[in-house]
Amino acid sequence: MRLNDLSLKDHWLKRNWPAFVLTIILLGTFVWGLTQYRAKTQLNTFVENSYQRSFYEMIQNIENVEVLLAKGLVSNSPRQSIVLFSNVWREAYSAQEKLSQLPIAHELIERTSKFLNQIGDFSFTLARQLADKQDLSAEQRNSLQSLQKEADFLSTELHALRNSIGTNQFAWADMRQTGTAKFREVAPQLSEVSFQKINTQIEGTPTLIYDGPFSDHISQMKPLGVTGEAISAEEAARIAMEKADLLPNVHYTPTQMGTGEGTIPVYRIQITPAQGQTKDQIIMDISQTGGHVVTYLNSRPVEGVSLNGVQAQEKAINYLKKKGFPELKVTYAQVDDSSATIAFAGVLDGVILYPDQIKVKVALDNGQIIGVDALGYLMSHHPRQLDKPRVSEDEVRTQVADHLNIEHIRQAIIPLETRREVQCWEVKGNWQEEEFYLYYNVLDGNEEKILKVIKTPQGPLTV
Amino acid sequence: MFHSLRKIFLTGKSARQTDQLTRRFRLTQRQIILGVLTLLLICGLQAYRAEMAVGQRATLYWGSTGSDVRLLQSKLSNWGYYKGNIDGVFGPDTARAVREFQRKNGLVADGIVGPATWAALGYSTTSGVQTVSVSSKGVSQSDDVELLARAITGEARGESYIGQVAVAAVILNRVEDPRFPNTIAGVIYQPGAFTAVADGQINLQPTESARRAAIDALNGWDPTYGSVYYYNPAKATSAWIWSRPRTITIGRHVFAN
Repeated sequence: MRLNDLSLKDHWLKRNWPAFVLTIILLGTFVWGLTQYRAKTQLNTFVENSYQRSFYEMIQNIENVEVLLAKGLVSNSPRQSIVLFSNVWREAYSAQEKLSQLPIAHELIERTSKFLNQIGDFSFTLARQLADKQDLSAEQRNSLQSLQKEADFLSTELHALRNSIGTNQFAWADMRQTGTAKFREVAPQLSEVSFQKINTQIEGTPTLIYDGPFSDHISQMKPLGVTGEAISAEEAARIAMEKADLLPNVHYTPTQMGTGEGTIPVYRIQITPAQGQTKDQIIMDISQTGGHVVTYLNSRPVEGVSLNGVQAQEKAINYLKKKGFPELKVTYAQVDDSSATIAFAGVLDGVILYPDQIKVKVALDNGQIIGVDALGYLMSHHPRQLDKPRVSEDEVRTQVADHLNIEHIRQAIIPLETRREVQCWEVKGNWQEEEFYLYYNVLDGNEEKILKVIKTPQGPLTV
Repeated sequence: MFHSLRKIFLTGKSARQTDQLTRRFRLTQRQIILGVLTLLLICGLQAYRAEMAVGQRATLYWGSTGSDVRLLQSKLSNWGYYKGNIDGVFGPDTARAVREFQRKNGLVADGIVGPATWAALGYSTTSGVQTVSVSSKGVSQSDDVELLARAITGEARGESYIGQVAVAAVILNRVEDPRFPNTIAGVIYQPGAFTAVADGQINLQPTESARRAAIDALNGWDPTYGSVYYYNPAKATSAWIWSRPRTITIGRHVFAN
């Protein structure tokens, strides 16, 4: 027993090696934890710095907007004003971009964001108008004045926020973790004190309607092409079965999946084939008024390719004719690995109506129609009055830059970014192996729009 | 376990009394060490297997056969480079088509289909998932497709196809809306806008169906009718989001304006 005891003592280390191993592991963990902690702090600082940078740049941008708007109101020289308004546009967009990079809940900044976008967009419209040699109207001056006041308010509030951030050790990075104690501490500083206040203030500004893509009239647009009587869900299901491109000898059943209450109220109908006969998965939206097909998608997998673009186009034309869609003309086709998307547009006395667009998607394995998008047509189709061109085709031909090879010239109505429609001469031409479409207003010969054809890996956009 | 651990540090003094216990403990510690080693081994093996799983698409050359060759031939045939049969045999016609494809795409025209050529064909060699990578003079739609497809994969890979198109449509509707950033990347990466961005799921390889959905949405299909919000009613906690006017329900998502 004693001997045994002694040998045990001799081998004290040997017997207790697990304790040493554990100690080393513990030390290792500690060192690892320390480096992790330091890495995390560094990363946090880095993130915080980029938030701070966005914040300070945004304040700078908004201050500039305010100053430039004030100058624009004072200036009476169109040449000077164009430069000023173009700069407002740039500064306001930049401010909006910075604002959306900050970790603030969307509901707190949505009005501010819209305000900045509209200021920029509106100023750009004014700059363009001045370039067209048209003076600002009294109404536009009033709008500018109220926008300038808002911008002034905004920058004052942001200065207050900046000061409070300085004194309260506020960190943007803490805003990212909603629900933490730190968040509850810092969030009110932002939401209640500043952005909430800015939000309610800006809420009071009148709607701004002008010729730009962010103008308030865009969101208030009503569908012009949805005509007819209200229909029932059962009727919608019947129409869906009739309009869908279904395979013969397969039994399909329609089911109503609910309604949609967006820009065009619809019944959503799902069409399911009998088990195992085909992989069709069809969803069709039928407008609650008039029973028009709005959206149609068959999301079955497409296996193999047996049709080319021309054959697919043939299928799409036949489908529209057979299913009683309005008479349309093919404008372009986009072919990819498994399907072809053919775009159609309305025609009136030989003039192409690009806004009245319907797209048809054709599966390249068996030529089945696997998609229809008629939203464009239903939003904009209405009886139109064509203008008699004051600029002739030959005059346009001389107007086009010499180095462009003209392929064809025809008349078309095109939608601008603002959804305003203009009647134009469409000139298709090529320059340095790239294709372009140029549009000249038929009334004054102004160049309204230039499109460049982009060749995609799925195959070129062709006409 | 805790009991025996305490013993380790006391062994020096209490060895005599707990000789028996210690012996029993020795067994336990051996088990612990063995356990830790096994764990390490398993971790290592898993990492290795994960590395292998990503695999590589085989390099193809004259004389190669198999399904990869068939894939290559059908791709080249779709794009008009290859006129022969899709027979899975890499013969002279295939080699000619490959060389022509390589020349047109600025690759070394060696007739060997390696990682660079696979990538130009739209197949990533590291994952087997298709990527679109050709552009026309610096402008291309494929960046948009890629980004949207990743957002769809992160946000809605469990949803039906139409649910995936819908998520992409919401992103595109936001780009048009003055209340949101004006670029696709700006909308997707806006802090707090999408959970898939916050938790990094956006960096997953996009699925094929997400890619098709992205293209459909870019081509104009909008099953949400102008919606700019969506939420999962089972998970959404913000009272604010519930107050938005609802447009349509697709799968697990409610879409709103």
